[in-house]
Amino acid sequence: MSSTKIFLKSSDDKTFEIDETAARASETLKNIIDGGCLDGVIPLPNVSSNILPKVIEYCKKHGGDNGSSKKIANGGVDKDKEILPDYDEEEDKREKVRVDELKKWEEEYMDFDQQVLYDLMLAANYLHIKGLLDLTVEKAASMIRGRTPDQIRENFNINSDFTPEEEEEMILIEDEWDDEWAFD
Amino acid sequence: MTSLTTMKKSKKSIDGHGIKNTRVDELPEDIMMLILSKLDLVGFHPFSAVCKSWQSIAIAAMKLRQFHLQPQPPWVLLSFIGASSNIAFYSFSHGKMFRLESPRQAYGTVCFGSNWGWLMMAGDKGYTFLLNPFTRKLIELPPQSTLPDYPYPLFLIRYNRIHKAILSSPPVLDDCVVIAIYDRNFLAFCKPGQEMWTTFPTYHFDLEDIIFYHGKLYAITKQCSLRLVELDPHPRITSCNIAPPLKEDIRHPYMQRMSVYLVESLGELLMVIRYVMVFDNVDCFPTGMFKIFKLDEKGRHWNWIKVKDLGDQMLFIGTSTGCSLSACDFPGFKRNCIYFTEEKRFHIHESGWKTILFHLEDDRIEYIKTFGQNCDLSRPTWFTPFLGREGGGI
Repeated sequence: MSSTKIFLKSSDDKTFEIDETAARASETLKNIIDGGCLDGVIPLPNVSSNILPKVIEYCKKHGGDNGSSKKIANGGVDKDKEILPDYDEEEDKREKVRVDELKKWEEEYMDFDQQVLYDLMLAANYLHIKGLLDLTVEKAASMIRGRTPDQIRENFNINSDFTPEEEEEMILIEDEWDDEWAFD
Repeated sequence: MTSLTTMKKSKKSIDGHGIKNTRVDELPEDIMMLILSKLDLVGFHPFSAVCKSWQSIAIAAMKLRQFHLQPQPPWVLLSFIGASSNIAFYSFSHGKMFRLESPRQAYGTVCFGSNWGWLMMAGDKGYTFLLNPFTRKLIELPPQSTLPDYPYPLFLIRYNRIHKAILSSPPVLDDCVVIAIYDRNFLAFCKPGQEMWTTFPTYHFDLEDIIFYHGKLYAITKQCSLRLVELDPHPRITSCNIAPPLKEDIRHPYMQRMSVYLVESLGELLMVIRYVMVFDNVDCFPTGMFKIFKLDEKGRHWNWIKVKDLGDQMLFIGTSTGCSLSACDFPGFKRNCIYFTEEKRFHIHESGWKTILFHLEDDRIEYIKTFGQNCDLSRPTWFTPFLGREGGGI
């Protein structure tokens, strides 16, 4: 396996080193590499030096594996059992350990300031790193799920620009009451 | 994206190293839509209520054909009789009740059908309409007094004549047709906005359900006879000449065939027969079991074949158009089951509406939730929230 080094230059002119295999986790970098336009350093005018190491960290972890976590996300292990005649229980166990380990890694990796989240999202989008984009988008979604508009504004540091009347009209009201309800 | 979002504090957006940090309102619209697509309808609403720019993102997303929220299993629609009240929904997946402010016309109405995320409702004096409870959009249908041979004086029209109805497509599309079973034995259809129902010339005994299947419209009678329904060039109903399944496999002495439903599941047409337990001392009978048959279209003569196992599928059956979903997609739901909203309230001292879970593997009925024990509720029905370009009509 190639261990060619690639150099990435952040928007604020700092240079970072990454293995080619790791860099291939990014669709954008992969295209540049395969396009043969590799001329020493790849400039990334949209990614700053405080985010780029974080992106590289993700690529290092995921470079070379092609969507293996997707397979697990679909609960695919059981289905594979039926499809593959030479299904290997040991292999299944190893896969499970690998998945658990990856989940733990992702959890630690995603433990950062909210400020980083938006930049990381933009970098993942710009560099076409689907897994990282999914991860960051999911984190943002988890800050919305099960919350009221007020709580969401608090989470994202946003002020409402609706009039109080308009806010009244926001129509989905979660009700605590159950069978004991009474309507006026 | 021109953003209207205002920041709470003028948070320092330049850090110590002179690097500008992105703010949430600087995220491009496609990323915001990606975030939105990770939510279900219950998350969608607070999202669009955050601020105007988020609201406009939500509205824009809904207009995109390729945009979808996370899929949602059916909710239970609860509407209150006579009350100046709202419509409420119970979501089994959230284990919660949700209330929606509905337009005035929808107060105290009953639902006689639901598909494509729209409710088909009937109110006072035969007033009939379609309602999207999430967008609050209301589309009037011809009043039920335009159905022929109305047997009562107009001022007495308080009850709903339509047993069940189906929409051919979302009513925001031009070619949408509503087909309704009325007075149990007749079919009628209309386009939203028309002034009168168009009726079918023939009489059919005990029509139970209608469904669009592979682009054609079918109806089923209580005797399990499948009929092909054609609107063009002339309204016409013809028998499909399929022998009904034999009755003899029910040995329970109290079980009686009560109603029949049609559901499409994984590209096949299923007929679900509901049996009730008939006792002498009560006048409404609780559901006892279900039998499922699938249409075998392989041979020259079509047949009904017994279905013993639904695999991972679960069926949702009731007043609304039945649906089949994979239980794998919805944690907490049971595979190989029928979810059914009971048709009647039984026993005076036990007055609520029951929701049934029927397990196919051991023919077992499980009562999972009772609604409206303390209030006057019309029959609950399944409602699958459906937003999006084809359905929402935002």
